[in-house]
Amino acid sequence: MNGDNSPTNLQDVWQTQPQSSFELSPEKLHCLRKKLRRALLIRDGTAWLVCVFEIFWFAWALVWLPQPFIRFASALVILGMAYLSGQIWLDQRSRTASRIRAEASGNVNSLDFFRSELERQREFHRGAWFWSRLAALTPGLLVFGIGGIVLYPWPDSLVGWSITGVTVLVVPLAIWMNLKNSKAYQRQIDRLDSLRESPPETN
Amino acid sequence: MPTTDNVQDDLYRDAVASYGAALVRLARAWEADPDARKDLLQEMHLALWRSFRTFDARCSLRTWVYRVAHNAATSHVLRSRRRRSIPLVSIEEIEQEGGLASENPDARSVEQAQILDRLYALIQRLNPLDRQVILLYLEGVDAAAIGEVTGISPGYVATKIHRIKNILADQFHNGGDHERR
Repeated sequence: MNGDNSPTNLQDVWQTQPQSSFELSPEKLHCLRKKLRRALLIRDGTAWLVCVFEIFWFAWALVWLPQPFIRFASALVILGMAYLSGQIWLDQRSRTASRIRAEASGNVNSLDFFRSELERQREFHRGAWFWSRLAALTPGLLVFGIGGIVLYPWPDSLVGWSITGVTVLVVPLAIWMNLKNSKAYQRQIDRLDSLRESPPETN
Repeated sequence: MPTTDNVQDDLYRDAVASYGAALVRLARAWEADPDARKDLLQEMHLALWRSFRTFDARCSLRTWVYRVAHNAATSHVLRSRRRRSIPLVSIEEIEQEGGLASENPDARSVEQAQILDRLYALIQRLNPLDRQVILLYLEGVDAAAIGEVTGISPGYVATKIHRIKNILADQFHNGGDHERR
């Protein structure tokens, strides 16, 4: 290797590197835009379908299982899932809109764009979104599980024990993991904010 | 002010004529996987084309193009990081650990290709904002314009460029004979 690998020369090496050119025709761009919209629709639809499937499953329990305890629990879960479906729809709509706006806008500088992405992810893990999801789903699952334990003798109560056990274990774990993630996002946001305002330290 | 479709297409063509090569380099720097890189390049071009519907010339074409391209790339990296769990670091962390050893000991024999391989490997480890600063620096964009594209204060841009120069000099001076692991 020759000796001149100074940063300035590296800029030359970088800018003169061999590469193929790339350009999209207007027709191809229109086609890509349609494809992107279709992909977003499919993604949103998939999340919705999962919720609808869950609602139907518990609706079956509500209609066909005789015990009022279980039917009450099923109704709670259905309400929770319906709420969750609405939240998913609202969240994905705003996320898609903000992503399309921000990505396609040269008015948003990189720091603001990156910060808004981190904020959105932080809120997913700790904001009203997260707590309302827990509040919507946990009571129904717990009542469903405890109902199964109280009403059925062993081993028929296995389903009830499983649902209760998983809920009791998963909820605290989910809270812990989500708060941990939200703190990590907050640390990144704080670092970004310091880049915007504070004077740099010189070594 | 909204522009017509023709103006949007013309602006896109002008931008690609001036900065198309830079976009290809940016895509390679942001995405190591060749297939995913093609997707990213398409995303950048699509975002750029869409953006020209609202281009109002309040900033230069260069600033606009780099902002749109980097924002699209940031989105891409955050999405792929969630899928692949890639830890990203800052310029300061790389400086502290003493740079980056070559990830490919059997690198191509061509000197320039070796240098570029190592540069790309270094850049792909950085978090999005630091990645933008080093890429804009390598593209020859001055500190004030880097601040305009990224939103980072001029003081921090100067500090980061100083650190980038240190890392590059440390890694590439004398052919990188003192690679550290």
